[in-house]
Amino acid sequence: MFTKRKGQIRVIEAVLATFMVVSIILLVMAFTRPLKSVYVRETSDLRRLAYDLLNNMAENNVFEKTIANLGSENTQQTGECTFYNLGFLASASLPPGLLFKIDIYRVDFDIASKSVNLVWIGCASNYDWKNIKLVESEPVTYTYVCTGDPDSVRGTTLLIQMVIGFSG
Amino acid sequence: MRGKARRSAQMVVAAILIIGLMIMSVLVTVYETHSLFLRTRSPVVREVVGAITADFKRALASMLAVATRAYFNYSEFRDLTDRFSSYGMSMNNRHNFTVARQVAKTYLEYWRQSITKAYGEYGVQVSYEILQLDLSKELGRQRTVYNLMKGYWYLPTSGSYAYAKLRLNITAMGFYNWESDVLVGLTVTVYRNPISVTGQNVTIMINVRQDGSLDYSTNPPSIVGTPYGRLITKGWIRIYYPQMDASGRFTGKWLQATIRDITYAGMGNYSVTFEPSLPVLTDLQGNQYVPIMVVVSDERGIIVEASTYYYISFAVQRNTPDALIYYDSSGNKKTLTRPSDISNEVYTLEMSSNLSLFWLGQKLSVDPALKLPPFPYIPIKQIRVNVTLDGTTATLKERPIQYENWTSVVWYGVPVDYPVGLSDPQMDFVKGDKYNTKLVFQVKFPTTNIRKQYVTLWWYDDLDTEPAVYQTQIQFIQDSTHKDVWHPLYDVEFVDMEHQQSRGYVNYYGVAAFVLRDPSTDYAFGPYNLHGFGIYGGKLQHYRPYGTWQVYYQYMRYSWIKAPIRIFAVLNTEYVGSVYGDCGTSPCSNSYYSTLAIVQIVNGTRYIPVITYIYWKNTRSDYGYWLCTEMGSGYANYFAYTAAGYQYKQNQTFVYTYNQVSSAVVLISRDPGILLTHWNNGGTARAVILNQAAVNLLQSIGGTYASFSSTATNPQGLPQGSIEADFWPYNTYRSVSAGTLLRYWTVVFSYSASGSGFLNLGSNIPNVWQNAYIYASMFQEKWAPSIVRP
Repeated sequence: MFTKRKGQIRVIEAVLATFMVVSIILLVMAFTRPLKSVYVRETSDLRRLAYDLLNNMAENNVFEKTIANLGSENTQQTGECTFYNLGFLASASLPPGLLFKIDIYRVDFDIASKSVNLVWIGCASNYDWKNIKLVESEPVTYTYVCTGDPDSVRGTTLLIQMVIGFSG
Repeated sequence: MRGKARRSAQMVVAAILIIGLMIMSVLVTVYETHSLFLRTRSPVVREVVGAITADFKRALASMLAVATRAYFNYSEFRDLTDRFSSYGMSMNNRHNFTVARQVAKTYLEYWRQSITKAYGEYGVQVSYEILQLDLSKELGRQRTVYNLMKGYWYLPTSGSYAYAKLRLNITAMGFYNWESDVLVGLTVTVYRNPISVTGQNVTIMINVRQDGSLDYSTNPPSIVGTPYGRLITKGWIRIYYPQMDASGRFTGKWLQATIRDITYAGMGNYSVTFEPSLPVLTDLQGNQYVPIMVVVSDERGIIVEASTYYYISFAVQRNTPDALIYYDSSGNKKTLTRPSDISNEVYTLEMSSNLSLFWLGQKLSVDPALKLPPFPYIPIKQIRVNVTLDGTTATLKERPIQYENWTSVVWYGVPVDYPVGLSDPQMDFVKGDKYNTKLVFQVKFPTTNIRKQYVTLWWYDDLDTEPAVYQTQIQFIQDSTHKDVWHPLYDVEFVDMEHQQSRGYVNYYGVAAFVLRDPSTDYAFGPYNLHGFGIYGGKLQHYRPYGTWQVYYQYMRYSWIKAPIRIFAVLNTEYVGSVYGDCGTSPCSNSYYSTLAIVQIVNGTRYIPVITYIYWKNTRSDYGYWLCTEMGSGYANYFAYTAAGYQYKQNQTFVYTYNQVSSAVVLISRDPGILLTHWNNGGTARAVILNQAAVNLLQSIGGTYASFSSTATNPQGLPQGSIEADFWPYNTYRSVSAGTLLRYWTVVFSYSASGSGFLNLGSNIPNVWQNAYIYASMFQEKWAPSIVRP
């Protein structure tokens, strides 16, 4: 008799234990930050926003017009973002409050070594990227073959790395 | 007991159900969380695919821009084209679409590598497949894009296109087998009939289309272009018009027109007004057009060049008489009627890029009413010719054409045109200030009832067109014993500084001449000597032109394509030499006369034109002065010449036998005219036909001493039997003055006693000369063909 009663107690304990574990898991998940609806919407939108921006600029030959000379001699040794026109156009096209940094690399095709090399030629930004950290941000990679005028850049391939997000 | 056990089991089942439900709820929640994570943290596949596809399209467009800009004007777009020189896109290959295509493929391979590298974290795999695309709806004629890119230019509807299928995997996201047809293209249609033509300007309508939508209901898929409305804002247009001289004749040069107005009328249609005004021409189908070239570029740099016409058409009129007058040796007038079969009357005509036509270097008369538009600014390799055979358009078929480079120089104060080689077919057919391209083609008049043959010069629209290869029976052979041009009727051996010893004949010690040989036995009939002056120890023609023949027989770049119509040998020298060895192998002097001679070995004909220029640097006196001579090596039994008309009646004909020549040692007879000939009893015959200028020179320099002569034996005492045109003979001592300039042509004509195109004189051997006489008029200036309206 005593043994049977003891088994029932074990079952009740198991049910209660399971109930408690599941309840705690659900409780923790309910309070987890990623499940905030505002955050979900913004992180996915950031990438699409970045791609939309880059596509629009590509279709309008913005890169050829704002990066006047893509020669390596103009590579900015200082690391400062001096593509001001590009930065201005991007800022004007984005909602207020969004921060971005666009790094542009020229993709050199080396026929002799049959290799592809990246040469950083400059960047554009609308914030002090050296001192301000983005709390929520998304990186986007984009490649662009210049097709517009002038002929001196037509056919040049660019690799564009854009980071877009919010500050704290 | 049994009831208690049942309750216990029910409790266990209930507990298991509750636990199961709870675990499942946890699983569902975890799954939802994972899905949310994927949605929020995964790369955006659609955007990445779109970005790569758009970039592939841009890469294709930039390569089509490189190819078309280089093809149109490499140097103007050097900022672009030079940057691809390391890929092979050089100035020298500017009209080579095969090279441009290879450049594009190399570039796309590097582009592919760059994409793989740029999107490496996503595991992007990218490739492309080259497929066919039907352009017939777009161009209105059967054309396709294949092998990545194609250009169809220089017709009223022209276009440039590149097409490939992009394949893409993004392995990190499990995204596989994405395919996208990528097309870039630009099409322009020029409506030929102008909207208006005023005294100041012309207004035309064009339609421009870019890229287009694919129609997969056909195999291969076809496209219809999308109207392009950004020509004014982002693209550009140029119009080129042909320059005209004061008489309104087109000079062959293209100039850029001034565009006064462009109006966009929607759906890709633009009206363009430009200056200056141009005449409206009418083609064979009765369609009117103004002769212009329209060049359009879109914002991507892709270029298309269109013209308003498809061909240049005219007719060649034969002017030779079919009833010929001559006088026999007694002075009796005779009429010789040509046979209806005159199949040896084949004209080898030249058309220069300045739209002049030539026969034997003589500019032909052109009907003033005939407005020949110039060739489009087009690579030579794309040009072809159609010529009729029977005077009706039913036989207007493609015939062999040859492209040659000629130069104009001032030679001792007179302008002289001479060839500098066969063309590089990839170069433009343009009018140059110093160099001109000439198109060479043949017009045949097989019977006497045909007076006009139609000629249409046209061009392929395909930028990949290679120069045509035509069968030819002439061939240049050069080795230690040969510097020969083989022809079915004769083998012409050129002797000169680098080939002094004629096979089985004599050493010419650097004197430039050509020896006619039997093509089957290699027997040497002896040389044709260009010019000769003075005697040496009783031997004739002491000082003859000395130098090296430059032989042109193959195209530049396309060395495997041999000259289909004629092989040139050009001699340009200021030296004279001696065949008698008294000067050794060195020239004797450079103080006598300079020589410029152009010899043509012409496929499918019986004649060898020799155009000669002689300039006397100093006054010289000696016995004997020869305009030209043709040796005989003893093969001839009969000799004849026609009189010039100064001492005998014009075309009074004198016939001699070898016995008469032999008994005279050197037979000399006055007043030589247009025909000198010798033949044998077997009916083998050769003639030297002089043009009227040569006959006039004989008279003006030699006066009454001008002679036809024939030398019985050579210096070795063997039979010779030459035919010679002398200013004065070997036994007369006279002078020629410094500054004397001679310009003339002769034609070495091979003929026979009977056969196709000849009178049947096999049983009348003494009159075999008539078979040369019936063709002599075609080589005379006054009977040259003329160019008339078709």
